[in-house]
Amino acid sequence: MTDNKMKVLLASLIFTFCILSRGAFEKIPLTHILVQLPLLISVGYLLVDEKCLKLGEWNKGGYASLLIAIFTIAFWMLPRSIDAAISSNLMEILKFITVPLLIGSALKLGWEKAHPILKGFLKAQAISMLGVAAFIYIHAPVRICISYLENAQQDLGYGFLYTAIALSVLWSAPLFFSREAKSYHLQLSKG
Amino acid sequence: MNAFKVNIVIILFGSLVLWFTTDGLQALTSEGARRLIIEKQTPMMPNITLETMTGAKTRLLNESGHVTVVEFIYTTCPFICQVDGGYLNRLQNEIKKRDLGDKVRIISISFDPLVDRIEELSYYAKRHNADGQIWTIVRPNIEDLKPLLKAFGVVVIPDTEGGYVHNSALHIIDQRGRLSFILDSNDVQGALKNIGRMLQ
Repeated sequence: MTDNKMKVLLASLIFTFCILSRGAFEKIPLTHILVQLPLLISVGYLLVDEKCLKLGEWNKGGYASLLIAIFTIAFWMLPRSIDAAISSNLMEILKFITVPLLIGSALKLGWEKAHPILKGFLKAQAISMLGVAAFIYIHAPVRICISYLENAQQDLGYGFLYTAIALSVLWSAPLFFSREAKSYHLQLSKG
Repeated sequence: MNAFKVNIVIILFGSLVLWFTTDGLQALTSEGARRLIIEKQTPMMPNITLETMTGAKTRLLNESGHVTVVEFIYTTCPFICQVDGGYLNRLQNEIKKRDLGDKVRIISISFDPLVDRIEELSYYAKRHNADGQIWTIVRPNIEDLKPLLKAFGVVVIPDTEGGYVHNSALHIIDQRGRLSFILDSNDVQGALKNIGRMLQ
């Protein structure tokens, strides 16, 4: 089996799993937001064929598809969108389509073409956004989603916080261990 | 189309979508949206029959054209509904003081009518001094409950201690039976202001 076929198979397995586990994951916001949505994003990410990356004058520098991903993320970050996904079947279907394609696939299409500075900017932006969301969800005096309990909302806040910490470690660690970093440190130690 | 134009189109379209789905950036949460939409649309409420704490029957919308303040409760609620009971008591006293008793009424509706029998309703009334004239504690028929909650946009979910959590608020219905305002439960002054405006 080719690499691409494997990826498509894996993506469909994850997608099926997301559909079957809907009830369990959507019971609390922590797994709804921090497990189900990332899984759905990975589905779209895996679906993008390497050949697609070469196409598209419209997506020069990856800006177009990254913008699509950012707007879609912004939409699904709204508490009322998440509430609507729980209370309305139409919004739930919309979530299962737009999160993989307009976030996952779009991120993949954009990320490969993005300038390193843009990537760094987006990473920093993602970490700080998670930090702000963590603060809001931990300290909000009211329920932000009417479908969820207040202590479950705080759990999600801590989930955001730990994700932010994990991502900052994950993204900064290679800077210390890459070949360039090693030769730089070597130069420093030699004085 | 070149990349630059595509990006502009995406930014415009994305902003439009976000603008419309948040009602012009005014409502990011569903509770905010519920209040905003109701103030805009002032939907007609269903005129269902309710059973009061004395066992009598009343209707959500009565013919004499009262302004009606509605709050949803369940009497076994350990905390929030009891605090809210205090606010409604204050509202009742203010209405009495302003001599508006024949124009305004307050109804606390139990969304747990199987547990809240007449005894529980009257016990709750006694605890919060609901006089039965201005302020009545009621329960709907079980088959009316779902459409009732839906009409008000109230979402009730079970909590981990065997109770419920719900978006508690003061719902103000005008003389013609239209839900016109939703205010925070503790916003007694705001409720009085809105009621005064409606009665003019």
